[in-house]
Amino acid sequence: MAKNHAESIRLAILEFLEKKPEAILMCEGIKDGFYGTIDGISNLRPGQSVELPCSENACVGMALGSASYGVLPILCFQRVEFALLAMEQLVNNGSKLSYLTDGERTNPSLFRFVIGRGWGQGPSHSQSLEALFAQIPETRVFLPVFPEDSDYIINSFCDEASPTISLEHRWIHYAQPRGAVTVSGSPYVVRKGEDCTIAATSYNVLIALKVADIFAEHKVKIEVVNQFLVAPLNSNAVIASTRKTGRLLTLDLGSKSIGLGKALIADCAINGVRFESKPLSLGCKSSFSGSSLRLVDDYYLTAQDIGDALMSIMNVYDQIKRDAILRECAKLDNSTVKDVPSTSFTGPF
Amino acid sequence: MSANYLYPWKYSFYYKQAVKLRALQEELAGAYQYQRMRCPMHLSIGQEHWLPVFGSCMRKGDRIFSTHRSHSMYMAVSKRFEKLIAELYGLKEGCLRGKGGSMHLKDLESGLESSTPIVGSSLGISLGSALASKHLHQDVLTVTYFGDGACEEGILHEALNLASVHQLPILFLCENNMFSCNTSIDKRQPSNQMTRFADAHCIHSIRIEYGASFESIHEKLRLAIQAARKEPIFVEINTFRLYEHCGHLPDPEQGDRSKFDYTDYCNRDPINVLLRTYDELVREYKESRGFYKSMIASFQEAEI
Repeated sequence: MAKNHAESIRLAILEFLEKKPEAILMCEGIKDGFYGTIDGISNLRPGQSVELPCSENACVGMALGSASYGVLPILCFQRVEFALLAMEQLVNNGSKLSYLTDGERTNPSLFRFVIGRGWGQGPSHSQSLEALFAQIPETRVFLPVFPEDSDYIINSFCDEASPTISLEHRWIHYAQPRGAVTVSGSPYVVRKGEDCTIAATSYNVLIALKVADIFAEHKVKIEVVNQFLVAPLNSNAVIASTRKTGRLLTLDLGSKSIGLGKALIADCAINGVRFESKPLSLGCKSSFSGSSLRLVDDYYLTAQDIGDALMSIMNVYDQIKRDAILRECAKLDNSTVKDVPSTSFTGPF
Repeated sequence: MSANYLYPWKYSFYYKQAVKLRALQEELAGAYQYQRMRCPMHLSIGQEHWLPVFGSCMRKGDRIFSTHRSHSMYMAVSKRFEKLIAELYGLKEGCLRGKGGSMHLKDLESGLESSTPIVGSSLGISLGSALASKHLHQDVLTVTYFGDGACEEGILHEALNLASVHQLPILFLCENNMFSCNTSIDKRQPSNQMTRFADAHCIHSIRIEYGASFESIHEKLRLAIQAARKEPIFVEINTFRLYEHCGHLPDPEQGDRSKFDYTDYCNRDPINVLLRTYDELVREYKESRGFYKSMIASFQEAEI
């Protein structure tokens, strides 16, 4: 069986460190392996491994600063919320040095922040906040889903003048390679279809692919775009796809208010895409994710939510067809306990 | 104690440079009123006497990170004052081509790498400079310059902790002028000794009292800088700002500042003492005023 996403990240980082002695890996609890994504690396590359104290703002500053002087840092925080303590350095120093020196001092650095989900992560360990990070000028923000995405991120950050942030959803660590895709840094189509476009990121891509399978059985062909690059906004793939399908559903991992989905819809409109029916935008369903298993569906998008939205866009009024699709979506949603990742979502694809 | 004893002529090299920096800053203050320098300006008048001493201890390749009061570090290590003045006027000839103004001064050739006007912010990236020199086995000292206000920021404690744990080659250079804008240190901290933060993180510290002799400043800075090439060191230098936090006027009584203190410090100000003591320095000062007046005037009418 192919390596899953976590194993693939580990290998990519290890190879990167071997190839580039100036690179360093920084992590709080570096020996704990960071969900298998850096397992054993601190033993294999001790001179390139830096244990971090709980001093997030100074740690991010240290990574940014080291990048201006020949080091290629990869810094990992266990949850994205800890990075909020470091927003000061990311915003005030992130890519400003490069601006002020006309590129004489750059910050090629990679920040891996994990988005928690499941097993009662609750309101402080489950936010994704991609729209917040996307507002930092000249900073690349990614929401990878497939191992190929992270391969690209790990091997490309060193060529950038600005910092790169990869927001890794905990459940995408189990994803298998998509295969047959060449990831070049631009969002790309992961499933072809003619009837409606879904633009999604991270774990929502995996749900979208499953829902697309259900619709395919009913002769509705859904195209799925992996919008894994959040910032700078690149809507080319979504515009091209929506031009073809005339229909668009966007799925934000975080809040849909002032989020990526709305920006993609706006870009389609600005670029003169003709919609066959009005586009829809979905995102997490409430402000915070409650810790209890009972509260999971209050916050997270389900296959049923996505199926329902697609039928609205596609004007599916046939009650029998609607019921059949929703029944299959519900079956998918209930195929596993809802606070652990479903193996049926993770491939092989 | 007579001034001649405290400030013997033996150190006239530093005295001459220090009075020149005073002259430059007073001329900048004079020109600022015409509102052609369209940026907030944080002068270091009253705080400049130690800068030439510090500058003389720096080696080529050392890297300095500063706060908003970035004129100080610029004057300490760079001689290119035209570029400083041009930057204040927002000209493309400025040291940042007009992108940063008074608060972001840099001179990469002289080692002033960055100035960040958010209090404490430069501490973070300066750690990176120190980590890089350690990881890449470079004999480079990093100096991070900040004030007593930055000691109230969480990042100072994070930075001291990281530097101590990883034994980074970095000098924490804290200039305690006792005021954050116009708020007295008494209202902001339970002690006016900044070295206590170094103690808490097991970092050796040195304190330079207000009005210390140039000999003592030189010896303490020299030793601190020598040691900081191997491990983190914390230096607290005590000064008093005679001009406004931001602006071009003397500041005797804004906020918590009192006219009594201002008069007292004006009297004890090392450069005022030097000018009262040595006629040769008065000549140097007057000539410099004229020199910098002409230099600034040459930018005054530039297209901005």
